[in-house]
Amino acid sequence: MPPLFALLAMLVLFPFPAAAQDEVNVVFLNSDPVVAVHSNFRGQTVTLFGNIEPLEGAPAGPYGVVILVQGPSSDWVVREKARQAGLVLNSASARYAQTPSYYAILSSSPLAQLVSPEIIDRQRLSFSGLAALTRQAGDPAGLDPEFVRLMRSAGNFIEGERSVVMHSATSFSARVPVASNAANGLYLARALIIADGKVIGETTTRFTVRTQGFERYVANLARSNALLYGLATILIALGTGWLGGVLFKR
Amino acid sequence: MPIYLPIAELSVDVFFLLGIGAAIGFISGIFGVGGGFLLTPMLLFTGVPAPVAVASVTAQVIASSTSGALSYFRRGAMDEKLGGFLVLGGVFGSALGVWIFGILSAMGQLDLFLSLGYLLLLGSVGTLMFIESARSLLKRNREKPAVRRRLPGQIPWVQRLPFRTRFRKSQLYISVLPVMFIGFVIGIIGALLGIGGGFVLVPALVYILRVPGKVVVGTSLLHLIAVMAVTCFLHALQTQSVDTILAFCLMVGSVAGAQFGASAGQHLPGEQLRILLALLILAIAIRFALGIVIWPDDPFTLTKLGFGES
Repeated sequence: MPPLFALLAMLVLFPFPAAAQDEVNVVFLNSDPVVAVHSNFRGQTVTLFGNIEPLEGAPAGPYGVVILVQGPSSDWVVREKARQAGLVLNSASARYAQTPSYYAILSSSPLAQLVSPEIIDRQRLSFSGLAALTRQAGDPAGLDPEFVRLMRSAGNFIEGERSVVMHSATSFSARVPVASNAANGLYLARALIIADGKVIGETTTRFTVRTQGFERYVANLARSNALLYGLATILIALGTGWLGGVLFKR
Repeated sequence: MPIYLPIAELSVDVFFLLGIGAAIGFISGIFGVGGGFLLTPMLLFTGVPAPVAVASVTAQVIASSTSGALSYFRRGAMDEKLGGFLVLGGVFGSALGVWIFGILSAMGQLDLFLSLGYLLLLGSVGTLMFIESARSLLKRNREKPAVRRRLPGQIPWVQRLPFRTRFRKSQLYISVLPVMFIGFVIGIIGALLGIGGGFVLVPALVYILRVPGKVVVGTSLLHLIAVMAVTCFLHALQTQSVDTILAFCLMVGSVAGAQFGASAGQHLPGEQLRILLALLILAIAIRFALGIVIWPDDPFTLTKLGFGES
């Protein structure tokens, strides 16, 4: 991805809320800084792992960990079908602008046991909260649950109540599935360390998903240079037709 | 062997694409039709997003028309002047079609429109074909010498239109207005539904303009190539939904399949085949009808907005 694109992807990432006062240091790393999507890519798992280093005076634990992973943002539309004059057609719709195309909420134990609803709300640890936040003003809120359901079934919203594994009191890891249709761009993972229902430390790590090879070139060309792309497609079509006529003389 | 289609954003087996390309190429070779009106529905049923299916098939139609057009051109069985006026109308039709396409897409009613459009087009063409071929089959069984059906007389008001000009190869002296209008209408249909429209254009040229049989197919192919090229280009610019990799797989399959279809067509009984094609077309029309009448499993759909959509 050219540097400009990387920069743009960073800018359009959904902003995280402000960090809390840290009482622990966290080392947080990932296994694959770049996930390359090839033509026969069938998905991959990125492993995130980290270690908690309590500072002086930090709560003794036990610590809980919540990991939030978000991918590049896109605009989405949910449409509801209705029957009018015997025909099934689209009626109500709701737009969700600049909503992460990938949003994973992983935790070491069920969220409700770890933190209060206020923290869930403030740290955007719920899909419904995210939907309510990005829904265009004036669009019906009734479609929020459907948006969340469809994003979940498409593998864009992922929830794992015990997906963060605590290997010891202070070390943890989580496996993040990247589906074959994952959007290109920067993925940001944020680890929140929880003790006694409070966020006592947080840190981020990032990885990039990008389509490689010919397919990426084609997709980029179609968007950045549509004129050339259109002309090239027409020439390929004419050439293939001509070649077919020559190869199989009628 | 899965292949990733970068614009459709999905992985499809490459042999599946070559296979439907070849099957539809074979059918189009037998009957001398473009095949877009079969290919676009197939892609829609496969799960290719509607804008990508329609826009990519335009490229496939160019390829499948080119080899035929070249052989007609070499034999001189093409009226370039008539074709030129058809294309002139067709370009405007195509531009209008692509514009309407964008509006329908933004309104979220593209799928419904495509279903209705195909239902209407395939339903009427399939019914007419079925009746006509069934009638001629019955007639042939009853009396051996097939009665040559007399072409209907000149349509008087078409003859009275101004801007008459001479089309030497077609031996016609007619107004350019109906020529351009026919091109215009086929251009709109082609851009909206992702078809060449040859199976509408050829009868229109024969019955409305009385273009002689020896140049009609070549001229119609010339129109298809030019107007589909413009449509493909406009779709690439406006909706950015032309998937060249998808189109290329379909082209390779259909260009090869068409050659075998063309030679097979000469050895197969014509009327029976036409009835089969009519039934196939009607089956697809019914499939579209079910799609817009039967309540779906999930009444909610999620769409990711691409470039230029709102």
